[in-house]
This record gives sequence, structure tokens and C-alpha cells, in this order.
Amino acid sequence: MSYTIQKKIVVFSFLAIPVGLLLLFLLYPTVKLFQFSLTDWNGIGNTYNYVGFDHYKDAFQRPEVWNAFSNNLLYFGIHAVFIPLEIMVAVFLNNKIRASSFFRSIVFLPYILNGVAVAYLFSYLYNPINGPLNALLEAVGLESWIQSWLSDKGIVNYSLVAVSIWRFSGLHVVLFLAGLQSIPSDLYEAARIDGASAFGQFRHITVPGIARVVEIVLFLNVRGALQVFDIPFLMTQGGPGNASSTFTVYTIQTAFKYNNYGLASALAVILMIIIIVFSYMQGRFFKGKGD
Amino acid sequence: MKRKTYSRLILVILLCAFTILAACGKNNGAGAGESQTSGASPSQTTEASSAAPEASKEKVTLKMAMWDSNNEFITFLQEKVKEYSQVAPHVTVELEPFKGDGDYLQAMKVRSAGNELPDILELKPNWLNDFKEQLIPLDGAGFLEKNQYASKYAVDGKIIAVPTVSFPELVYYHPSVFEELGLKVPTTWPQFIEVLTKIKDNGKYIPYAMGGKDAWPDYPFNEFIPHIVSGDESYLSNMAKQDNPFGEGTAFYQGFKQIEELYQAQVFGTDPLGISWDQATVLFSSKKAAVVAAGLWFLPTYEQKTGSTEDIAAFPMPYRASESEPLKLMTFTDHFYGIASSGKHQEEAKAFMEWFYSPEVYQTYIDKAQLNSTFEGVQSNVQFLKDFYAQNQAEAFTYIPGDAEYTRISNAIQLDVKALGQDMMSGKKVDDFVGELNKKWAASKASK
Repeated sequence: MSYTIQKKIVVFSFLAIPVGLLLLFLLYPTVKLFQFSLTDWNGIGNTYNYVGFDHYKDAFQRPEVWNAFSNNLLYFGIHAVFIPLEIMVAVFLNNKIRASSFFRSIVFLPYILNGVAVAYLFSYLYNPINGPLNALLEAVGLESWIQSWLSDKGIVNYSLVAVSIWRFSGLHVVLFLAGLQSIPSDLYEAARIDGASAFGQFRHITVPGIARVVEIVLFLNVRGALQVFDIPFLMTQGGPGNASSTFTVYTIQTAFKYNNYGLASALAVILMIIIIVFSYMQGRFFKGKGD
Repeated sequence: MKRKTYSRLILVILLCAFTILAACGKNNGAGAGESQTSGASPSQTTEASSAAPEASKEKVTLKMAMWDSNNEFITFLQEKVKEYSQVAPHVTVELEPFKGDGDYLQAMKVRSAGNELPDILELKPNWLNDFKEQLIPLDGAGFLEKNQYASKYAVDGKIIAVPTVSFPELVYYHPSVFEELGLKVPTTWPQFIEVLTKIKDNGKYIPYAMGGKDAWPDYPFNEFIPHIVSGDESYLSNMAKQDNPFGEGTAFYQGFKQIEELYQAQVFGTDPLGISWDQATVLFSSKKAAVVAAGLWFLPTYEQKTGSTEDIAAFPMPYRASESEPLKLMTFTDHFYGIASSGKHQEEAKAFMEWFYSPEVYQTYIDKAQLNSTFEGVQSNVQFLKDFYAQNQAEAFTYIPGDAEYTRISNAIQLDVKALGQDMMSGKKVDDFVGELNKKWAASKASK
């Protein structure tokens, strides 16, 4: 056997398994998902009919879908507003302050907690009967601030976004921290010699230095905000009524509660397309900036 | 350094060896257990003649899935189904319990899609239509002869699952609270609201423990009132024949208006939508709340929490507007068991059901479930229920779920009356949503 054939066999056999797994677990389900989105399958029966793109049209006409989507945007918006704050915390932790490594671990801790545990933890904190949050407000004389955190339609989404912020901000801070530490210190040294102010250093060295990390965090934010599921599902099941439903919660309920796998698959495809489009636009935006 | 590496290596080898040995040990243990069971089989001692052919049969394991929130009941059933191996030594029944019906339903749907349903599965009456293709018809089976409800729940004229329990939907209250506040058991809807308002005005107790955070606990109102107001057990199926079943003049509208009146009285405490069902039951069990509505299935939960049934009594939900109308008692039939058409051991599953529904075995099931029997000749031994029937005269009204068309339309428009109940508790008015519901319903009905 010639060396070239041997090489080809080795390359092929090494690639066959990962490519096979990719086709089996990624491409095949995606194709199947698209196929189901064109049917009226109820998820249980043995038969289904093709209905064309009816579910796609239907999805855009449902006010509940738009309501869920607007809740997703709320997660995105508030998370985005918190990004500068997260950068500030990262800059702060990057300085040689006392016990900075301890604080770095602390900010990351919420992220490594199990999502279900976080949901239960906050359900307890928001509890209207002996809930610690209301008890705290009462103890400090802020009774008027006491709210129905999870049952008031006007407040519930903010309560849930707060949980999401608490959970994911630590991850963002750590990512920013990694970005900050990758900036060579001689750049700052040179800037100082040239008489640059602290803000000038931040504006012209730190911000461009962590632009790639900001892009990653924004991508995680878009993806996370559009797919947010566990927090509303476990804490409110999308309620009261449909007030805290998100796109994914609505999709899951469409599939499993209302046996409409066709529509649910269409919603999943739409979500996939939205994420691809957002990520592409974001990539273009950052690329333009970089140039 | 080298010594350290060697000691680590030995430690890892020991750990692996221990794991493998432990795994083998478990297998051996299970094997021993099996041989013990067959060794103790009465069929070998009492039915010596049949033992030889039974032993020669191929070993079969039947999977049976069910859900129950009561751990004690799950343990009981796990032990009970094991007893079947004494009757049919070649058959082992494995129970797969779930703690909640939501998780259970989701798991069964996923398995159904993968053709992996258990041989025997439990269902709620309103799931029968969805699973009709996955269940075999049981018509003609011996155990159905004495079942009083099976034919009522036939789908497309075929009986596909056996209703195993029935129970009334009740309003539980603490007699001591009623006595303390000088209240009488209400028998009409206005009286019911009046009693709850009096408890609220007194201020000592929460009138009604509503676990509104979970949505489903409002079912005695939002699910059952339109049904019972209609006076038609097949109300849901008949709804599917109407174009506008929600507007003024319909049972839905009338029932929901009644509910609106109750919800506006604000008798559920300060934050009913912030409290889960578990918290609501704690409020009731600890006598912080005076009243709660649920099926008879709630009684064992209460007993577990308080250790007695001394300070609990029940009355039928007084849905009627005045005493001149008959008082109807919503009766729910549940724990339907069916045989999966994808199962490889359908005959064995049928034989198991024959045993399961035999009077001796079924009596123990009913006694443990503390619910009503669905079979002639088997009586429930729940003293609480006997007392309830002795003290309250009401006409039984059976809940019959909607047919395939009702299921289709309500799923298409995502009709969730319990979520509507949550909306109403947070202030939404009936007139705000019935028009929209009618529009969606008519469009979906026409789209068939």
C-alpha cells in the first residue's frame, strides 16, 4: 500500500467519526425539524399531513408569539445595559486590590450553580409568604417597596430578568477579565509616558483590546436572551396567564401542552434563523468597526 | 516521586476493581432476588400442576408507567405489581412511577414518538383522544364487564383504557373555623361568596387557599363551572359543534361570570398568584386558611400533613344560583390504564390486567388510593367519603372530556381555561376575552 493511500485512509478514518456524529446529531435533526414544521403532526399520532408554510404564517399572526418575543427583547435589552457595568467590575477586579482573586471567584459562582437550583432559590426569595426579600424590605422600613414579584404582570418579567442578570453577569465579568489580562501592560506604560489620562487609556487601549470579548458577550447575550427558558419555565411556567412567556417557553408549550409539533417546529426554525441573522449582523458590525 | 506515581496507579486500579466488583455484585443480587421470588411462588406450591408449563414459558418483563404525588401509594403499587409474579412466574411487572402528571405526560409523548411506550400506561380521561392510536381496544375483555364507567369514555366506539377510580370534587373546610365564626355550610353560589367574605372580614383566617401560581388549582372553578352550569356531561364535545361557544348566553359565559364574581370578592388572601399549590395546602393544613377545593385525592395529603382528619369536612361545590335548582356534584374518573399497541407482550399485559382488576387485588388498590371504586361489587372503605355522602345530598355529574374535534380546536387556539383563571385573578374581565376566543374558535373550526 502506497504512502498516499495510507495517508488517505488515516485521514478518512479520523474524520469519519466526527463528521458522522455531526451529521447524525446536528444535520439530521435540523432537517427533520424543518420537515415537521411543514406538517400538522401532533407529536403522538402515527400519521401527519403536509400543510406547507401555514405554520410559519400562523406563527407571525399570533399575538402570544409577539408577546413572548417582546419579553425576550427585555432580557436582551437589560443585559445589554448591564454590559458597561460588567466591564467596570472587571476593570476593578483586574487591579491589584486586596483579595481580588476571592472576589473573582465570588462573581463567577452564580454561573456555576445549576439553573434549576437558581430558579428555586429565587422562587423562595420572591415568595409572598415569609419571603426573605419582602422581609428585608420590611426590616429596613421600605414596606412600600414590597411587591408581588412573580404574580404582578407588570413586574414579573423584571423579577425574572434580575435572576438572569444575577446568574450570567459573573460569566461576563470573567470573560472581560480574561480580555483585560490579554492586553500587554507595556501599552499602558507607553501611554502613561506619553501623558495619557486614565480615561484616555481606557478609551484607546482597554476598549479596543477587549472588543473581541465584547463581541462574544453580545453574541452570548443575543443567543441567551432569545433562548431563555429555564428561569421563566421553572419559576412561573410563563404565567400569570402568558405574562412571562418567552419564545422558547411558548414553543415548548405549543409542542407538549397543545400537541402542535408542527407549529412548535416552525417556531424553532424561526428562532434558529433569528439567531443566525442577529449573529451575522453583529459580526458584520464588529468587522466594520475593526477595519 | 516514582513511589507517588505507583501508589496513585494502585489506587486507580483498586477503585476500578471495586467499581466492577460492585456492579457484578449488584447483578448477582438481582439474580438472587429473582430466584427467590420464583422460589416463593405459590403457583409452585398451590398450583403444582400448572407450575411446569409456566416455568417453561419465556420470561417476560412488563413495564407499567404511572404517576402519583403520594410516595406511599407509589411504594404500595410497586410492591403490589410484584405479587403478580406469584400468579404468573414467567412475568415480572416493573413499575415506573412519576411524581407529577405534567412530567409524566411529556415523557409518554416523547416515548410515543420513539415507539417506546411502556406496555401498560396510565392516562387521564382527557388524554385518551391523543393516545387513541397508541392503545389497543380492550372491548370484550373480562375485566371490563363490571366496570361502570368504561363505556362512557369509549373513543370512536372503542374502549381503550380502564377507568380505575372515581371521586367527587369537594370543597374542604375546617368545621372548627366555621363554628368559631358562626358560619353555615353554603349550598348556593351567593351563599358561598358570602361565607368566604365573612371569613375575610373577620380577618383571622385566609378564606380560601388558592395556589394560583401553579395555574391548575383553579380547575374547580375555571374548568368545571361552565361544564356543570351547562347541565350536559358531554358539554365539551358539544362545544366543538358551536361557532361561538364563549359569548353571552352560553354556559361558558354564564359560568365565567360566576367565577368573576368570586374572584372580585378577593377572598384568596393577599397574593393568590404568588402562592403555589403546595404552599396553599400548607396554609389550609396549618389552619391559616379556612377553605380549599380539590378532589378526594387531597384527603391523604392532608392526613399526611396533619396526622388526622378530625378538623376537616367537605361539602359539594355549590355551583347553583339558588336552592330551587338541583345541587350537582362533579365526579371525576381517573387512573385510566391502557395497553400500548407497540408493546410486544399484549396478551401478557391483558392477563395482568385481568389479575389487577380481580376483586381481591382491586380492593387493596382502592383502599390504598382512598378513592371510589369504578367496579360493581367492590366498595370503597373511605370513612370520610361515607360521612360526606351521609351529610350531603347531591346529584352525581360525571366529567366527560371533549372529543377529538374539541381537542383539535382547543389545541389549535391554545385554549387554557386555567391560565384564563390566572388572568381573571389579576383583574382581567370576562368581556375582555370572550370575543377574541369566539373569533379564534370559529376560525379554527372552519379550518378543518
